[in-house]
Amino acid sequence: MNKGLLERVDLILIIVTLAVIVCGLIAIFSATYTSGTDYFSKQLIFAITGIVMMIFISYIPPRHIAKASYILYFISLVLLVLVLFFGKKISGSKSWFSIGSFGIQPSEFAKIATVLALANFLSKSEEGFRNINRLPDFLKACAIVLIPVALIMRQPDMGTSLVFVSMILPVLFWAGLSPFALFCILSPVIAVIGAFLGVNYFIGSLVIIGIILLMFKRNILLSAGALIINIIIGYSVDTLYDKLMPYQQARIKAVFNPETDPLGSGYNVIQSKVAIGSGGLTGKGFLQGTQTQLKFIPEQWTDFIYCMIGEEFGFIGSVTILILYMVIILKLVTNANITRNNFLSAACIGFASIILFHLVINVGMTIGIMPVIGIPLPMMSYGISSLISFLVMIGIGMSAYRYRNQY
Amino acid sequence: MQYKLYKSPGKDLIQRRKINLTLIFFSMLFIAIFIKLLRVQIIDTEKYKIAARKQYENKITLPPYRGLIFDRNMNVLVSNSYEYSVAADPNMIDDPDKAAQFFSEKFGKDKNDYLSKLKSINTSFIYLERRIPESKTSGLDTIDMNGIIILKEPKRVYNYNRLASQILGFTNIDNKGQMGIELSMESELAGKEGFVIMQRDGKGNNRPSLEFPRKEPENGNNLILTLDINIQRIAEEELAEGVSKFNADGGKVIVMSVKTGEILGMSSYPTFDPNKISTSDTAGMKNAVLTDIYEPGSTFKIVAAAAALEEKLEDKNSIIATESGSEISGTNIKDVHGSSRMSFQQVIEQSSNVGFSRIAMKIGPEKFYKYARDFGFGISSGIELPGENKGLLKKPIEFSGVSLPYMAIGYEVMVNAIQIANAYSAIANKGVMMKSYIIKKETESNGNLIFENKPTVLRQVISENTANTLSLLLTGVVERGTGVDAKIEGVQIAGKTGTSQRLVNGAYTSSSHNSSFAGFFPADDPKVIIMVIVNNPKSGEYYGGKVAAPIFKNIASKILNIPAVTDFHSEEFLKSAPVNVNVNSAENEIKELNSGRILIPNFVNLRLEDAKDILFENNMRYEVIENISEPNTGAGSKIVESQFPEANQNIKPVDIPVIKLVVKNANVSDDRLVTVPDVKDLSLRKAINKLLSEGLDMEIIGSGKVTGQTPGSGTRLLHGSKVILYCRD
Repeated sequence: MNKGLLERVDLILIIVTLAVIVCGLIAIFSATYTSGTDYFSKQLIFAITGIVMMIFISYIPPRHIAKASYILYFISLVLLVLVLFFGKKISGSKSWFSIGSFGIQPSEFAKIATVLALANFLSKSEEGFRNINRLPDFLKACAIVLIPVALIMRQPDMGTSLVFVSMILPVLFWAGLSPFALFCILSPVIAVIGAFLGVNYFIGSLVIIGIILLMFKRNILLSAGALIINIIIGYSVDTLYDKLMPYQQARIKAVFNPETDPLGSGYNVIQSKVAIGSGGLTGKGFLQGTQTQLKFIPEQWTDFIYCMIGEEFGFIGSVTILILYMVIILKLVTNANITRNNFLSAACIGFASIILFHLVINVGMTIGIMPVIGIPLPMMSYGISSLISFLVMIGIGMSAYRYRNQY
Repeated sequence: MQYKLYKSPGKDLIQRRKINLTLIFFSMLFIAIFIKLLRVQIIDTEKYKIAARKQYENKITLPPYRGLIFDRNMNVLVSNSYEYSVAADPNMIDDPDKAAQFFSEKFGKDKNDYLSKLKSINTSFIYLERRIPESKTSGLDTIDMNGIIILKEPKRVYNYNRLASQILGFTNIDNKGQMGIELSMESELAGKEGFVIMQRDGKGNNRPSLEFPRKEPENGNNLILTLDINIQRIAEEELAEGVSKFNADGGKVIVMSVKTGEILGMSSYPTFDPNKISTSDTAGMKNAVLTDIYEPGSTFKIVAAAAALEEKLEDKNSIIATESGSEISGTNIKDVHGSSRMSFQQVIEQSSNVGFSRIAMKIGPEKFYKYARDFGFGISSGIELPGENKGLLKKPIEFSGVSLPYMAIGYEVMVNAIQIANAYSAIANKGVMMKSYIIKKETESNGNLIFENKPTVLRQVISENTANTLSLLLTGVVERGTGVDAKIEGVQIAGKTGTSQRLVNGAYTSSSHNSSFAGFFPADDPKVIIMVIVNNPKSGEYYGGKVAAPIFKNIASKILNIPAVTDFHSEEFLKSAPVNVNVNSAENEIKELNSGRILIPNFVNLRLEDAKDILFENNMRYEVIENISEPNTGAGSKIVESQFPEANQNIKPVDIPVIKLVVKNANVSDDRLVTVPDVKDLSLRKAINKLLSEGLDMEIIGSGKVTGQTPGSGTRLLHGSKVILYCRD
């Protein structure tokens, strides 16, 4: 019986997920302790709802999910269009449908639908993945992701758009994209960062890109073309930067050095670093965090919830949370590896990438190594749509485990 | 577990490589975050803890009442009122533009001034306007803007304006004493600030902290001076009138109780109005009675006279040859009204320079020096006022061949006015020198007595007999001699005139003089000594007897019936006020004087000009270092912030280094300065708390208990400056 249960249910994933949710609830409780809001109880209710949904979804056979994926994708595109017209504008972005006292963010559910649609597209052949190194298929795969991205950028919601983009490369790589193609896509990022840092860095980055391109020993014309594209992109960075409004330049500068603008875009970063740093090794204790309790970080229960953990539970607490996420992501990657179902395999990698991207950007932002991009900490930040959507992702990940032997 | 990392051993190499690459990429991101967390939470945690504390702990000071100052009859000389100031916490300002506009309209200043202050970063407190005139305070109470702080700041009120201003001194914008008693009794008057530590949340709301108890302010102590405001007024009015009558540069006056050494009145002309510091002429601010030294001329002749009588070299009837003779080689000492032979009495009454030179030669350098020293010359009087210059008395070994005759007539010696007053007071007081003082009592703010100054005997300078003889001879000066213009019907007055040529550009000139008169009355039982100096009278008259003596007379005749003069010195009072004998302090000073070593004077908190005067008079070389951390807002208002070497170091005259003075602008407000507390021997945590509550930053070397700190306690530092703590387990 026990053995049978372990065969069917991914216990580790479910336990660790529950642990993360409990930690999130504790954090929200503390962060809203003195504010008199009901975020904790709302999050609690939807956590329970979400867990039920997660378990339910883990029972759905992969073929049903695959079948539904394009429909879901289409529905979410429609919702993304509708939200541009009927959405509620909150802090400058039209990302929400307002239903009673709740807000629903279609972009959160579009994440799942897009991953499923992409996975479905990639796994069309029974034996393996579609040959993604063929340009038409590569472009189609990219289009599946970039259509919702274009709609979300219209809201505008930069952070969520980036989440979608971040998931493309790992999934395509998993589906067999060649390392050379991968590098051609990634290299402009290196060139842009180099160009931003200065002329010498730009030249240095081009040299490195050139050497790596040669190491692939591909068609020399193809390699040269890739390098030229890099040079063009790098040069245009300076021009583009000069064309930005001063406040936009300030925001980019604040990423590299938040102290240049301590009251503006750098404020949250400085405050969150102070909160986390002052927690020290063991933290100040539950409900004892001065920065959290005295609300130095605005709306800390949303994107800056990690500060509460860092401040009140210290280094031990923040590393524990980190480890819990690491286990979840590793479990999803493992499930992707062991399942014979290519559709769920690609989907698991997509979900793992999304969770990882959220985690790295969110935590990195609170400790000052990432720019301030407003995306939530998975399953911990307050937010009903994101909580439910992450639990659905985990549910599909569990289904990959349960049905790992089904093609 | 039922699953394996790889599907099967036969799984192809590409799949293996794929998963490895994915895992390596993922774990690199985790490691990056882990390393950064390690840095923020473990390595740099102290830095962030301090930053956090700074943000959430907000110290609100509770200002104490500064002590009141009374005269001897409990007239309130100095009291307190309040003024409003406006400050801001730039972090909390919602709309700097609106606020700047508001204050610009209210105070009629450029909006951008306020705007730049309101937008300043790295501070949570900045003054917008300090000490707003009362006419503009209306409506301030009702300002309701986040981040705007309205402060009620105490302000000193000098109830008699210019009267006794140099004695009382004044306070700066932060209510800290800058001169006079306000400066010298700063610690007694200031009281102690209390504070509440408030916890401040992210929205700037304050709430009291449970960790730190509220500390109530301790009000400053009240001072009761020996001054009599009526005597002070008369002395100042008469001096001012005399100065203007004789078209002089300035003047000084001291009225002192002979039997107790209490200062009843003291002033130098010009004066200033401590209620209007910004518009006052700084020349009037120093207490020239103490800070100015001069060659006394004839008033100094009592030293030779007393020595000759005490040593029985002469009596009042001795005949002295006074023709200008060759005996006094190398001098050009002569008398105005030459006469070939005079009695000792006539020599004094006519103030014969030749006669006194002869007498001094008879006394000899060693004896002469001993008497001059015992009369208090070259020694600080010890009065509780800042800035006294103790003058210059050459030691016998430093005498040149002509020093002795010149010193006998009051040249080659530098004295301050109070030293002359004290010397005459000793003669009047039967040869007993009293320590002069000006603080009569110190009480708590509720009136409880803390201490009462008692008259202190310094030493018996000459015998009672000699003192009586000398008093008698000095009566003759007023009856028949150079001082007849001081004569008052019905009161016997003893006194001595003095007229000394002033050194102008290094040479004596016959066109510039210090005219002085020192006298006491009633001569048979002296109660009060009055000393008057007029600097550089330019109306034609310049003899002490013609210029200073009439001023003396005017003052004396007006104060004759004031109770402080008539009643206070009754035998009864003297019995009820036991006399302390304090010989040691004088002895120590004399010892120091003889050791050939000098003390480095204290220049700290003096105005640069005054410090320069002292340095110049002491022949000290100096170097002025501007404190560049403060903007230079104009010359002529610099105050010495610190000095090197520090004050009171005993140094041989040949070893005197170049004195380095660090100056700051006097009108740069002190609002950003905080006092470093003493944190030695405290645990590190307590030390940090203490420094933080003062708004100071710190650097910690070692761990455990604090064994040392730099800079030391009491130093004034800019808000947010670093204090280095040396710690050991």
